[in-house]
Amino acid sequence: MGVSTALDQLQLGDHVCLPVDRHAGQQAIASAYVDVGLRGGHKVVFFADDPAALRRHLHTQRPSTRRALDNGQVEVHSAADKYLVDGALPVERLLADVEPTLEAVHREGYRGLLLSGDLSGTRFRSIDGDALTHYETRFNEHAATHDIIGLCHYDPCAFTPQTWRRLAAAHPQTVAERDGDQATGFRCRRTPRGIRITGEVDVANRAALTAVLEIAIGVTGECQVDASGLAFADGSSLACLLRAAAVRGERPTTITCNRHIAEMLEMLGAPTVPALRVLVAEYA
Amino acid sequence: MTDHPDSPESAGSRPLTATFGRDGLAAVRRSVSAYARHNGLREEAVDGFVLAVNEIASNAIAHGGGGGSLRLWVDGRSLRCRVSDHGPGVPTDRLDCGLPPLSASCGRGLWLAHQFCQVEIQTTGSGTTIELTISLNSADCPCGVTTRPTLGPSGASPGASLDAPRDGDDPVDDGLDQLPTGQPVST
Repeated sequence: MGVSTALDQLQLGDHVCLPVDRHAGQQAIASAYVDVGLRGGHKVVFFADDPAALRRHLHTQRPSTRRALDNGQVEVHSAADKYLVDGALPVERLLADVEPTLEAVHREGYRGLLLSGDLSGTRFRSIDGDALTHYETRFNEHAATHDIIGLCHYDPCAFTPQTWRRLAAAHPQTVAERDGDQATGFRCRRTPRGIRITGEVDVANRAALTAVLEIAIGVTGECQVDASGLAFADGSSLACLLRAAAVRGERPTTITCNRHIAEMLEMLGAPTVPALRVLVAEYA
Repeated sequence: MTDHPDSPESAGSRPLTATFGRDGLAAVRRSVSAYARHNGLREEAVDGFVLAVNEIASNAIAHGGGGGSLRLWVDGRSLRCRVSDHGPGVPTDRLDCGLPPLSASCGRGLWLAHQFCQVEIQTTGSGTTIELTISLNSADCPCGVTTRPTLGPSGASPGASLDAPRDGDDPVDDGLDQLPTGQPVST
């Protein structure tokens, strides 16, 4: 899906990569992103390369956007202050900030938090691509767990092709070039007893799946992986799922999925994984 | 995915050709699924066929230079899909299609393709072509045993090129690069 469709369909828990070589940058989508926030009763926070310019831009938009900026529902901060400390990405600080920030957002009366982080500017080229990939990979657990949407603006030209592929694959969704184009994407939400995964997984986003499976691995007692809405997963992705169940050892794991995926799991070795049960359930 | 022809509904059983890259597998799956259903592949076989094509295309992306081309067509009572890339070829030890252990991060693609289709592989140092065949006849087994009397015990006629026109092929040059004829590999 292209950017306008992607914005229309955003849900809490989404973690989306928006390549700026295919789309206009943060400012171009800012008003639409604010609309998503206003419709959902969420706080919207932009980390911008030029925060003053973005504030000026938002002040030229419709009255509801201007009001939200004035009353604090929309905030604009410096991306450099957020993402650059001595020329490096402060990964642990960024991840540690998520929960307290969400708590504050809820205390303010908002349902959730929409983040837009613009790391496409040249000032961020000093950041190691692998550090960015590490951060985005670990952010997935937070996105799946909390009332948050993360929209990440990157310039693919700032990376080697190999690094860019890894960085994009760390996101469950990457916005396609045009509306009408299809891109592989999945959603994951933590549930009281495990996780729920919907959508599709292939080489384009498999690294993000591995990240959210850490939630399942960490569940004490029985873990339920609801994959009934998983419409497609390639062999390597399903092997990741089986490995996660295997790592849990004797702690029971139940994977619920459609018939085809159940057959695939069986082929790939589900019977050899202790304490794993696979149940067939079509997506309702 | 680029070079889409008309939708399968309007194209009937005309071949589907396309190129794909790393971000293009969702489009490949949609097109292959729609084409297969439109041309009568039984519903219970569609998922497996789509998966097989996805696995081979994924291999082209991961090991064959980042992408490739595919051609999908009806050949009599079979559905065939040919995936080609210009990569360095499949290592000999990867052609033995046993299922790798769960701990392996890769190596399942060819094995999975074999579970759902007949697989023919032609690979050289300048590229690989893999052709998947599945029967459209519900009476045949899921892996699609086709009736090709010219097949020898290696799975292809000696000296045969997967690029040679055969019954059911569109006679018009589809513009896909022709790979050098290599030694057919048994399946």
